[in-house]
Amino acid sequence: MATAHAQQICRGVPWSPRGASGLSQRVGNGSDRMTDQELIQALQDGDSEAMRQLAERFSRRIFKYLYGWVKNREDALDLTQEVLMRVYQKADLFKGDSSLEPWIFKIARNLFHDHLRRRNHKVHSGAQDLSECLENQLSQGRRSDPEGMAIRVESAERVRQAILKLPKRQREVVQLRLLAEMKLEEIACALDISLGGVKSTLHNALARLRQELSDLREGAHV
Amino acid sequence: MSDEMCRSMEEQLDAYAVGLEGTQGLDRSHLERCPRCARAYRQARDLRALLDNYAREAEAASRGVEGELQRRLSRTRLRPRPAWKLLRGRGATFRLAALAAGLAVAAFGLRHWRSIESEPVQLERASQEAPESDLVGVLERKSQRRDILQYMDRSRLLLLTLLDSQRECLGPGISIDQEKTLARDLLYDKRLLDHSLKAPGREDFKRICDELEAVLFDVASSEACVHPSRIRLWRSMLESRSTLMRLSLLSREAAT
Repeated sequence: MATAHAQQICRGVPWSPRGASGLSQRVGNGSDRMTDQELIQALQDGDSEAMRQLAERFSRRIFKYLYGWVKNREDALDLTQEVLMRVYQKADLFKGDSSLEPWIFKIARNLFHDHLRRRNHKVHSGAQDLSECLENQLSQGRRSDPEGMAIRVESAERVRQAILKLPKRQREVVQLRLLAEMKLEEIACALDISLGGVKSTLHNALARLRQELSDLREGAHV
Repeated sequence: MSDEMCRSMEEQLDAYAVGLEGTQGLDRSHLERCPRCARAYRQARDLRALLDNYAREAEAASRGVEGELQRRLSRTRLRPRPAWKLLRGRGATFRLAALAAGLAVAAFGLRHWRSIESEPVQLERASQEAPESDLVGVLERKSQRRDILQYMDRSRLLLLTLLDSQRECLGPGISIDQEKTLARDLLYDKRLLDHSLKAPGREDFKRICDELEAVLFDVASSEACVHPSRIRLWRSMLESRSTLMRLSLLSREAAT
């Protein structure tokens, strides 16, 4: 059943319970909002309004996914913009044999790897950004409990470090789930692996994370 | 049986830890019976709290991103998709068929238009302007005539300015440096117009343009400062044939 479900997503076939498309269900489906099919058609026709809708629907999640890797707001913004532009330019290559979302995140993933190659470095360790992140959040008005917030930021950074230590495939699955908010079926489609493969990869990743973060877990509920 | 339930619980707890399941989805009765799964549940709950916190921090960083990107994208000039790209991807067959149908209609229309053009009324109108055989010809001729009229107008303005020139050089004479440059440009334009001027029905235009060219050539090949007598010579060249007056009349006639 679950495999059939995943195949449906990869073929771009509407499936329940999320309705005509996973995305439409997630963002709501107002009368002025295009369906995935309409959106890709409009992008293929070079419609700039479609570009606006594309950004509205996906920019935040693409940004979060990329930010999880690069840990730098400006770089993540540049890359997100590049992803959206690439989707617009390559819309005619989208064959409709998968749903739109995994295809977009495939592009995001490829662009991120290109970005790494260009920069010729590994994924940012993020150590130097911790204080910057803390400062940003303090300036955003979350001053009521600076100590608690510092702990939360530090714990988030520890989790990030632990995720970055995972093997590549496990890392991808965890980031796509946590930051891109994708369902397991969509992740399977984006990574071109089976649903069972995603589940076992996720299981192994979580086991490692549990081990890696065992000292933090006691104080997790901050 | 119990092993099977533990395996199922393991899968549920993985989904729970990454936020795919709530606690309602978990088999409570099994958790109460199985201490191993109960321990796994507590670990999953703690891990979920950490992962949620991690996702929340990314969420916090993404505040305002949508607006920022919309602004960036609105500043980015989206290149229109090349026409050939429309013949790729989904719906390409339909677009190709529509293009073929459009071309067929255009071909039919052009043929039909030609047959209309051959009718007496249309011929009369065409003969007033020039013998024009097809749509492309008409447009081309109109564009050529516009170029010729513009050329004549620019030449007239230049010569009028030159003949009224009161400027003085550092040495003896009148400075015509700017006019020389403009005259050179106009001579170049005239060469480009030669072919259009040879078309039937444009003899008057050609004659005037040739007379203008003779004067412009003299201007272009003069010194930067000329003696007033040189300007008088150009004036007499133009006045002897009433070139500028004929030019005005012809331009006015063409405009009406």
